[in-house]
Amino acid sequence: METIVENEEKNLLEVEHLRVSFHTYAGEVQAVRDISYTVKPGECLAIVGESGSGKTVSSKAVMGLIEKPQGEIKEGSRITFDGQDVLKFTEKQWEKFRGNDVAMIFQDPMTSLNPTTKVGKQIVEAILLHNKMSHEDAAKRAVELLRMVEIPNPEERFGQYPYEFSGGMRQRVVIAIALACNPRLMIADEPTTALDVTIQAQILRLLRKIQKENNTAIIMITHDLGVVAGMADKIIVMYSGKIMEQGSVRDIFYHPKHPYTRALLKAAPSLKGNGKEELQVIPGTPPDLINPPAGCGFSTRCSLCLKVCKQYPPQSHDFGEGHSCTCWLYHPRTVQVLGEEKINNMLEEQ
Amino acid sequence: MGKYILKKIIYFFITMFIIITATFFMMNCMPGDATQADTKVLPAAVVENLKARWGLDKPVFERYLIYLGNLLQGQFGESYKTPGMTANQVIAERFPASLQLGLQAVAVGLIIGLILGILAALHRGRVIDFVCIFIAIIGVSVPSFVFAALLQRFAGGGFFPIIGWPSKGADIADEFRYTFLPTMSAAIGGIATYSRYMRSSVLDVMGSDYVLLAKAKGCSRRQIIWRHVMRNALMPIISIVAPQIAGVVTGSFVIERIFSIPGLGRYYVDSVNGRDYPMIMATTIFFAMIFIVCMIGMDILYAVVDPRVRHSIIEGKEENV
Amino acid sequence: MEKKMAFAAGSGTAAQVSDDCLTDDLFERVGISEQESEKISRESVSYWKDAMRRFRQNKVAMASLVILLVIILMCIFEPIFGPIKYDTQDYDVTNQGPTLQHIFGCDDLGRDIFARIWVGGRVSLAIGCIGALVSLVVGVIYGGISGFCGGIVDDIMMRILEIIVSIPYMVVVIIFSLFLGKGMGSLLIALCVTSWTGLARIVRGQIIELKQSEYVLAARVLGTPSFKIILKHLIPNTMSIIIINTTFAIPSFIFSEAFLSFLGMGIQPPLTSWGAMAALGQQQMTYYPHELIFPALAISVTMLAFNLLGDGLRDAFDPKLRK
Repeated sequence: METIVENEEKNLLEVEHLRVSFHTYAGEVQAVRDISYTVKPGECLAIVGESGSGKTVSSKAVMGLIEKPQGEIKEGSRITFDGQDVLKFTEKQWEKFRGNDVAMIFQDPMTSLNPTTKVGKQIVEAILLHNKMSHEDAAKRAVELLRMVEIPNPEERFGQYPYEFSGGMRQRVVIAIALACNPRLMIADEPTTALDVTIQAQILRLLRKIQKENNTAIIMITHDLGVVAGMADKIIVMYSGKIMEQGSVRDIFYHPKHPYTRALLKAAPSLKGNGKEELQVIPGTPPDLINPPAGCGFSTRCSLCLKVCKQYPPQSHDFGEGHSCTCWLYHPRTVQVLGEEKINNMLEEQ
Repeated sequence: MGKYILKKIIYFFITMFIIITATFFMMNCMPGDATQADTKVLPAAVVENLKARWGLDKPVFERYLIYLGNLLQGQFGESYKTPGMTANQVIAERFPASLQLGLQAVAVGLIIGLILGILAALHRGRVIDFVCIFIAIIGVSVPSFVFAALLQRFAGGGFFPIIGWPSKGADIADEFRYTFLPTMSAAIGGIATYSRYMRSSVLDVMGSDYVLLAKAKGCSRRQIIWRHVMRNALMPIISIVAPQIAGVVTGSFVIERIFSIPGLGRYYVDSVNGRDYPMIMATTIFFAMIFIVCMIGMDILYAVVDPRVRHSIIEGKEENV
Repeated sequence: MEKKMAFAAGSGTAAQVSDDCLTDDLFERVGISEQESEKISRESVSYWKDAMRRFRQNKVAMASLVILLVIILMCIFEPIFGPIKYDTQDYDVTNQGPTLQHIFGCDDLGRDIFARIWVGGRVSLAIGCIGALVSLVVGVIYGGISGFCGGIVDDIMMRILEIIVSIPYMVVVIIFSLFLGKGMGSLLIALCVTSWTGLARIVRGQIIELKQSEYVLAARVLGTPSFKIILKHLIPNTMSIIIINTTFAIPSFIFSEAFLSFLGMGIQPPLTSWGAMAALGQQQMTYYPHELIFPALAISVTMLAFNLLGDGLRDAFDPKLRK
């Protein structure tokens, strides 16, 4: 644990060319199609995308939670955590890894706690799985964790069943379970989607506090750009199993490059303005990942779509400082043919 | 919780009252009475005498009240066929065999069925899964009397007697020899039902979010199964075991007949065929009582083991469970 | 090196597109074509079509359906066109095993078991189908009213149902068949007295759930009259569960009939049913096993087919599997 401080700049998690498929009766669904990203210690990465864009699947792959034989991580994928190649883990190594190095928070707190086991016991279980300590000490630590996630009367709450908790309180318990072994990375899969807006803010504040205090890296998966704005260091925008654009919060919010990101931002309601302008929608539906399109996944819904977008997959273009975008508009050939001005006009107009 | 149990007990009495009333008046509408139970035509004087003895000369409603009164004192009435023999004696003599057969069948059915269902769910798509599905489907498709006959034919005759029941005080070997075939025949339906339900229940729980969370915590497969799956998967089974237990205890009519077991079920069928109305009534009421007691017991047990059910009972909305 | 390989393998065609392929005309803007963006790449199928497709793919269920059709057709036509009448007694062939003339053998009165199977099948299947139909109608109406009205009506109806359920099934059936006398009609009534309760409960639960669903609320807000809501929303959405339940109800009726006839309380001679034949056969089991085996086989195969058919329907209709 102490070594992280020295290797501050080293990546904690490296995902390279991850491809995940699910085998269904209708055919092979290519849920994640070649994505790469990195997370540094203590950093918060947000993965944004609509449902079915592959964001949850990509993070489950990191936890080794892709169920075989339906789910398959394709040959050539690489996931490295703190220098270890996790995809080569044995089941025993996975068990030591899950919950200890990386913890996960799920979307629906109403169903993610065991309904017939007391809340305290579920936290104690998580502690004892990875730490050698007496049951009493674990119980003490569990109460401490409950206090840390700001649950009032933790001693009393310790002995209660999940049904006695509200949704927000349950999500706090799930976070407490995730924190049980001081993981270095926490994956939060839409942690606030199922909650009321006011509770959402509380949970986000709690996650931020934990990130600061424990120097825990967080991967935040969400479809809500608003959720990530105040929290993330880096944002990945995913669509149809691919990364469309990635960059800092600043880059994505103020200098979005990809037509999808731009459309996404326009589709989000804003408090600024006079409230008269119409919200823009993105027409159409995401492509079928059983027969993914040959070109760009977004081409069918993109108002700036070029002929080439439908035929060839776009490549990633680097704008410096970690900001990159996978779109034909930024390809040198496009610039050569259409001219910079025309492209800018198109983007302007969008 | 106390209120819940009290409510259940009140239900019990209401239901029993309705069953008793319905049975009494239905039996009273039947053609023929005690005096015609025999094929012989009796002289008028004897008929009068018998009528007085059974209380048949009184109006129906009065007889009903008398009957209710007797029941409240625990008296189930007297047989037409074997005068002098009260229903209480018959039940006391006959019921233990039925009870033993029923409990053994449920125990065997539960043990084999649950293990089979769990194994099938944990090895979904493998050989054991298909074996389980096969047994389950055969178990619900083949009537128990066919099983009984097949067992008699192919397993009986040697070590296992084809018919009969251990006499009182028989040693353990005899108990086993005599009860094995009937128990297995009566258990086959249970094995099928339990394994089928348990399989889908385990699969349901295995796919739940909290099992995923347990996995994400770092639980091994074994820990997940023992700590999280078993308890939750067994809960819904309780609600299907209740009618099964009651059904097996009260309803091994066919098995008792095939194996000539001196149980209450066989006696019941004989009384129905012989139109021994007091005995039919007594046995019906007794069966219903056992059945309802089992159901209530299971309801309460369910509330004790499942905190969610207990919670909704305390909140006063158990109907929604 | 290894990394490069992985990249090439991982990205497939995503690898470098040579500039030569990128002719100028490829950079024409096409934007969104309305059709294409709305086009859903897989053909959209209705719930019923999808269920039927899945059902047809289920070989076991289809085979069961075929077997059932064969059994039903045999039961209808064999007694009409068959060479041997089911009640013809021939004392020369009593208890004879299967021969060319009597392919299933003969019973203790020298009656042809093959002919009797189909006559018995008529009774068993008729009881199964009529019984299932009656309990379907009663169950749907009872559960539907209870669920739709709610409130005190629902309360009272459910209490009554609970009382009916709390009497052992076989005992009710026996008492009623005793009360109504022996014969097919009274047997049917006796079997139907309690059998509808399960479906009534399911329908009630389903209706209550649907009533609270948003789309029914939406229909209500739009001022759709009640009968239209029932017709357009509640019935189609409970249909699958009703069909599945009825498919499972048929074998349970056949089962109960067999048990009652076995105990001598069901079908009376000269008419016969599979259960009655099995009861006769059971007495001859030791010496003439064929007299039990064939009726037992008839019951078991039919039950098996109905159960597998029900399983197939349930899998086909289960919306949870629909993806």
